[in-house]
Order: sequence, then C-alpha cells, then structure tokens
Amino acid sequence: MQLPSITINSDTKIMLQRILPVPGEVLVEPGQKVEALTVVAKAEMPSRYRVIDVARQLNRPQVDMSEVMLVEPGDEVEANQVIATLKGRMPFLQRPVRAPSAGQITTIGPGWVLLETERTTLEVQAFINGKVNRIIPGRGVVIGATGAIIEAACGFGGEAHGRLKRLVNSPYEALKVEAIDESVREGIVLGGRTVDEEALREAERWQVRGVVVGSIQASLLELDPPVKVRVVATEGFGDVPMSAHAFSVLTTMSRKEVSIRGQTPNLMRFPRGQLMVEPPVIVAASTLEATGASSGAANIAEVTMGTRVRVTQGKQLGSTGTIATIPSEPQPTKAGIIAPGAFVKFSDETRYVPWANLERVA
Amino acid sequence: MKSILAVDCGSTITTAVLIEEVKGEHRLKAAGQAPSTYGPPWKDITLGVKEAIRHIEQAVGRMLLSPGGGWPITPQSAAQQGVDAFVVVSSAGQPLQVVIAGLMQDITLASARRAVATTYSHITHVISVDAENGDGPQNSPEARIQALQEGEPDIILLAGGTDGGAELPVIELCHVLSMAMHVLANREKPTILYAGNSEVRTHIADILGSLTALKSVNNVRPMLDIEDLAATQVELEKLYIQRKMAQLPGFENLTNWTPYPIEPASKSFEKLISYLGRHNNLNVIGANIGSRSTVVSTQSQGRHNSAIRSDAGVGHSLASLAKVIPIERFHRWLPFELSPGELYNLLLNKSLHPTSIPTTYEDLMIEHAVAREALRLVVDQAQPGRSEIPWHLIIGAGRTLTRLPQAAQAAMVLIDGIEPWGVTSLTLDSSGVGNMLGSIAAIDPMAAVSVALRDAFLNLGTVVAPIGHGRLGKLAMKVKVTFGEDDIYEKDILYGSIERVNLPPGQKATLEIRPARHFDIGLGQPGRGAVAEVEGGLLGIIFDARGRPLRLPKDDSVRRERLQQWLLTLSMNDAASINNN
Repeated sequence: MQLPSITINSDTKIMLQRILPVPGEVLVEPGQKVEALTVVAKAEMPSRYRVIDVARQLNRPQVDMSEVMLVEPGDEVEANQVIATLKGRMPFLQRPVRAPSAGQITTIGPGWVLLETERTTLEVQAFINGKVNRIIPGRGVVIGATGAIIEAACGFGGEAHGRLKRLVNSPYEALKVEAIDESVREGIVLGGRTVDEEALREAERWQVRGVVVGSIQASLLELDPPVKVRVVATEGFGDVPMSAHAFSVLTTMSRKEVSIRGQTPNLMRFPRGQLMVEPPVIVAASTLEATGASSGAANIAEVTMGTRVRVTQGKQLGSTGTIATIPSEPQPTKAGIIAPGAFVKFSDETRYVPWANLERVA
Repeated sequence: MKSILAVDCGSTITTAVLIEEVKGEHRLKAAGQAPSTYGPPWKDITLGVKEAIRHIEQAVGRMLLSPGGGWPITPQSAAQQGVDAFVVVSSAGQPLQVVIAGLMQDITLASARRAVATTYSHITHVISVDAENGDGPQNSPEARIQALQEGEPDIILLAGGTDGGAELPVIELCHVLSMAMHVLANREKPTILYAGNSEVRTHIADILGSLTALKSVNNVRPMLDIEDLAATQVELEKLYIQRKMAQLPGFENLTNWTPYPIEPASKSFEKLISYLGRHNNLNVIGANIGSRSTVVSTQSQGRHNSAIRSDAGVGHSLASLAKVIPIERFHRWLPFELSPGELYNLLLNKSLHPTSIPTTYEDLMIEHAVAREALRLVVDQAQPGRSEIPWHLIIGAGRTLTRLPQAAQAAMVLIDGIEPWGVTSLTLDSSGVGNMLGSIAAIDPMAAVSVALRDAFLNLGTVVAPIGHGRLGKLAMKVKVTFGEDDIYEKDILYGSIERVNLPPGQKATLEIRPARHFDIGLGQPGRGAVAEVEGGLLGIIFDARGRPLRLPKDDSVRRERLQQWLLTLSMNDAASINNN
C-alpha cells in the first residue's frame, strides 16, 4: 500500500521552491548563500487604474483617437497634464482632457485611455537560511539547506521568521496568556495543545511574530480585527494536542532561528494551473548546504509493518503510531463502513484505521 | 461488443467496471476502485486507472492490461485477454473559473448562470450593468477591471441584449473587457465566450478579437421569453475539457489508450437520467454527491435540467460549501449534541483530508448532514420549482451514499435532500457505474441498457409522502398494503412519523392510500385517495408522514430525538446493508 507523506524530521535535506505568482526578475545567483529575509525575486505589478473617457470629455462620441491624443502608451504623465485635445480649435474654446492623477498610459482604446496610477512590487524572500540550489528563470529559485522541517495542517497570517521559544512543558498543555511576556518579543512561540484569542492578542502586544500549536479554533480565522501574529497548527482545527513526535522535533529547534508559514491550503484559491497550494510548515536550517538524505516528503512510498503513520481524521486526529499488521481483507470501522486499512500501534492501544485516514510520517 | 472496460476518474476515487456479454446479454462482471492519482504526490492520473483495473483482473482472473502493467489491451484477443472497448469519463481536477458579464441580473445573467451550471465550474464574479446602485463605484470601469483581475477567470461569459435589441450597453461592457485584457498582459488570458445580441458579433470581434481567444455562440436569450442555452453549454464543456481535463497530469497518455472521446462524468450521468426518464416516461431525478461537486440531473414532463455545483462537494470543496451554507443548516440535521463551533472545526478538518472516511457514528452523521445540505442546494438550482414535480424515480450516486453501511442511511439523505412527495421509487447506483453508462451507451447502447436494467441499481424501496401539514400525532394517512390474497397490512400513519413495511426486492404489492383531509398524495386534491402497484426493495415501503415541505422541530432536543427516531424506524431489521447486495 502506498500513502502520501508528511515530513516531521529534525535532520533532513530541505529543498524549498520560492516563486513569484507572475513573471518577474530573479535577484540571486546559483550557489549564493541567502538568509531567510533575503529578497530572491521580485515583480512589478500594476495595481490601480483610472479609465479616462476621452470621447465623453471631448463631447465627440466617434472621436478618432489618433487625431486627439498627445501621449502614447508607455508615456509617464503628471497629474493634470493635458493628454488629449481637439486639434484646430482655439484653446480657450475647448476643455482639453487632463490626466486625473500621475501615472503611466497603459493603453489607448476607441474613445478611452487606461492610465496606470499605482504599481505594487511583489517580493519573494528566501524564507530559510540556505544556498540557492537552482534558478527558475523569471519566476524564482529553489533554496537548499539541511535542518528540521515539520509539515503542518493549517494556520493563518502568512510567513514569519524568528527565534523559537518553548512556553509549555508538554504537547497537551495549552498556551496561556500568562506565559507570554517581553522575553518572546519578536520571536516565535512554541505552544502546546492550542491557543485562544486572548493569548494571541497578548502575543500581538509583545510583537510576537508567530505561534506554533497543535490546533486552533476555526473561529480564529475570522477575527475582527485580524491578529497580526502568524499561527501554524500542526494537527488541525479544534482542541487537539500536538503530536508527541512533532513536539519533540520542535523542542530540538528551541532557541534556533525558525521560519513558519501560516496558511490553510483548502481555504485558499488554487493558483491557476496548479494542483496544490504550499502546505503550512515550520522549518529551521542547521547548515546552509542541502546534504544527506531527503525525507522523501514529495514522494510516495510503500507502507510496511513498522512504518510510522499519522491519523488524519476523527477523535484520534494527529496521533502517530506504527503499522502493526495489515489484514488481507478490509475491516469495518465503528461507523460500519468497510474499508481497507491497517492495525496501527499507538502508545496506548492497537487499533484498525482505514488507509484513507492515514499518512506516512517521513 | 463482447466486452467493455469503463473507468470513472473521480476527484477522490477512480472506479473501473468490466461489462461482458453473457448468454447474449451484457452484464456487469466486476468493479474495482483505487485512489485517484492526478494530484500530488503521484501526479499521474493513469496510475489510479491501472490500479483500479488490476483489481478487476484479480477478480475475474484474466489479463486486461498489456504486459508490464501498461495500457488496456484492445480488442479482446482469442485468448480472452483485453476488452473490445475502453471508455473513460472524468470529474477529476479543478472546475473552470468563470466570470459572467451581462446586462440584466434576472434575465440574461440568470440564463448565463444556468448555462454555466451544467459544466464543472465556479463563478468567481458577476459583472452586471443593472446591478444595484448602477452608478456606484462598484460599477465603475475601474471596479470591473479589478474584479476581472481578482477573479483570474479561465472563461468570461459575456451575455446581454436580445437579438436586435440593445447594443450600446453590450459594447460598453466589451470595452471594459478589452481594457482588462490589456491589464492582464503578463498573465494567462481568459477565453471570452460571447453569447449575447447576435447582431453585434462583428463589432465584438473587432474590439476583442485581437486581444484574446474569442468565441461567439447563439444568444442565451435571443428574445425576452426565449432561452437558448445549448450552444453555450456545448462550448463551455469543450473549454472545460481543453482547459481543465486535458491539463491533468497523465491525461494525454490516457487519451491515447482509447479511440473514444473522454467525457466529463456529469455529461455521461445526465445522458443516463435523461434516457431513463424519456424511455420509461417517468419523472426522474439523479443526484450524484461527490467530494468536489454535486450533480443533480432531472428529466420531467419532457424537459431535461441539470446543475453542477463545484462548491457543494462533501470533501474537497467542503470549505467552500461551509461559506455558502450557514453552519446552523448543517447543525440542524445532527441527532446528537455538538456546538456549531465544534462542527465547523470538524468540517474544516474534513476538507483538509477530503478522502478520509468516517470512523464513528458521529462522524457519519456529520457527513450525512453535509450531504443533505449539498443536495438541497443543488436540487434547488436544478429544479427551482421542485415542489411542483412528483418524482417517480430517484437515483442516488456517489460514494457518500453508496459506501454507507445501511440502506436506511442512504435513503434518509436522499429523502431529506430531495423531499419527494407522492409515490417515489428510491434506487442507488451501488456499483458506481452510473457515471459511465451515458458514455458506454454512445458506443454500445444495448450494453448500457442491459446493465442499467439488470445490474447497475440497487432498489431501496418506495417512499410514500403526502404534501401538507397537520397536528403532531394526528392522522396523516391510512394505508393498506395487499401482498397477496390473504396477506394485508393496514395502518394509520400519524403526522410527524415515518413508518416502514417490508416488501423484499423483486416482489410487488398493491398499495391503497387514503390521506387525511389536509394532505394531498399528489393528485392535486387534499383527502383524495389513490391506489398504486409498488415494487419491493431493501427497505420495502417507507411511509413518510412528516409533511411537505419538510419542517424540522425548532427545539434542539426534540429535533435530535426525532432525527434519531426516524432513522431508527427506517433502520429496523435493516441488516442490510448496501455492501451485501
């Protein structure tokens, strides 16, 4: 049986693709060492336009634009600059067309002009300390490093980078508001089971950059105003403890620089033409070179007796165990649905779990 | 053809079936399933197809794939290897992202919506000339350009104006689209499908033709009182195949395995429902509840309707469904206590792992609650006047229904989702072949008909449900079921209850119904009785006296108790399960 994998590994080869959503410029060279906040690619994106109705302003519904335009596509114009006028008319007998604001002429259509008034620069940072492994021309790079990586379940807020500090003693303990103080300013906090709004607001007050917990309430996604702290949950939504395995790997990352990506893939629009959104993740590079064996997270692998697996559904969500036996016939679940699966040995019991509710932990 | 191998590549599961001629008749010989593999980490749709076919090879003990696990062998050899035909349908992958633009919300845009609803698609924005506050900032050209930028559409469906009617507003919209095409200069540009006033097509082509792919089809609303969706539907389907299906990893390989075109699964399902309705002169409704989308197809009174909601699946698109339907609506179907907040957490967890299987009773009831609401949403869209149509036959499809341990559970989802009234047969596409029969019919109609009649469907039973409401515990209808000369069952069915009478599959009975004076069994006259011949099924005859339209008790604990009671009544002696039949 083959299962999809997630990576929870304290020492593995990390290869991260960092790409722009639109074509742009790559700013680094292959082999170059980069830090998490190094901008590796950028693109200029027009973000605001004004439509100038030249025909109406000149009171000429069938205006020949080539006769009246004083500017061309690509020209920069100042606010209030005259851009079109009826030729052959005395200036004081007409009201010429002026640019409503400064910008660049994007295009001239029949009777109208599109003026780009604002541009946004999109920047992609390296996200982790590492070395540029490969350039994707015009779009981005692949960064390589060796270190710890934990693929998580959900989150919000986006990316952050900072020093990880553990504020709980076990994966079952929730992050309490009292635990948050100046000592975690501008850092990333390792909570345990979960975090509530009050603790997140306190974290925001101390400019905490990120929080890593086992689970979050779905209602936190809709906070108004939104909290300015990035949050990653390793297991999912609800009140679920962090898996002991993830907690122990995260504990090894304590006091190190880590990068987190807080997002929930299934709540995001899929980039056009792509089959998946990047998963939420926690990464810490220990060396800048991508050496050693890859965890194989992107691959599929045969699951056999002893393979470590994680439960993705129900009350046992997030529990990890190892495959004990694989029965030849599908077994019924407590709900009565008969589905192929395996008996999984957890810390307290051995239980039958359908393959559909398992993923391999690499 | 002696043998046909058909495959349905779903968003979660790939199902393969083998149909073979046995004593001059085509029968469903075996079925196999495997996880769909178009997405990560596999990224090759053919892996799941081969795996599903391998299950069939093991079941029938003969070789279907070329040595080394390659493609299906065609035609069937003298040594009984391979099959005569290989047919594929697919619903895998993302829906088309569509922006619709037009003049009037209630007329042209309503028609455009109906056209879009027949393809796996998602409407990301609507641009309307007559939108509320017509001159407000949201209707400025700048706002419309912004909407087009944000919507990242694959397709812009531009409709507006009757043939020979208004031209200027359509042309103005066209200019906005042309500006937007310039703005999208560094992105993949959408195809514009023009289905408006046919007399301005040349003008539209002059404005947009050089900027992006433009296709003109018949006006969706050539006259105010005439709707013509066919050409737009055909073109949208082609675009879905080109822009979505054909982009699935491994799809090109799959197309090389068969000389027949690969159809969207919904199209094949629609053909089946339409055929069953027309051929038997019945009002038929088919509901396929999937992980990414729900398809409802109807054939009634000579008309065919269908609707696909790609935001109404019970797995992949559950997060989208939870945005469309308030959480309380799912919550009302739960027969146990759970806070709406906890339910929302569980729904989002399911959408993180859409292929996961319910393992407890509570998980299962949550999945049924979602299935009911997804179904109600799409039935309303496919058949807005559904309460006016007495369905003779309901066909339920999709693994959410067919993998259930008890037939009663599938029946309750279908009854609560569709709310049939009168006398209705309930069936289930238990083998998963329903999505493929329409495409199989295109190459061998007799094989498809034979399998549809003999093997494809599991008869759950007959539902008898009057329209109307009364007082709880008071008479809703008197029923008399005559099984044979001396075998008669008579009962008073009380308002608010569900009752069930055994009538095994293959057996028939005569049913006499005498509704109370506030209830109409479908004859248009409250209190008027009826006699009907009914066929048996796994659940026999179900008397649903909860009234129509269905009203659930407002009190939480009363409602939970009733939901439990209704399911219990239906489940009694239902050892039965769908898997054993």
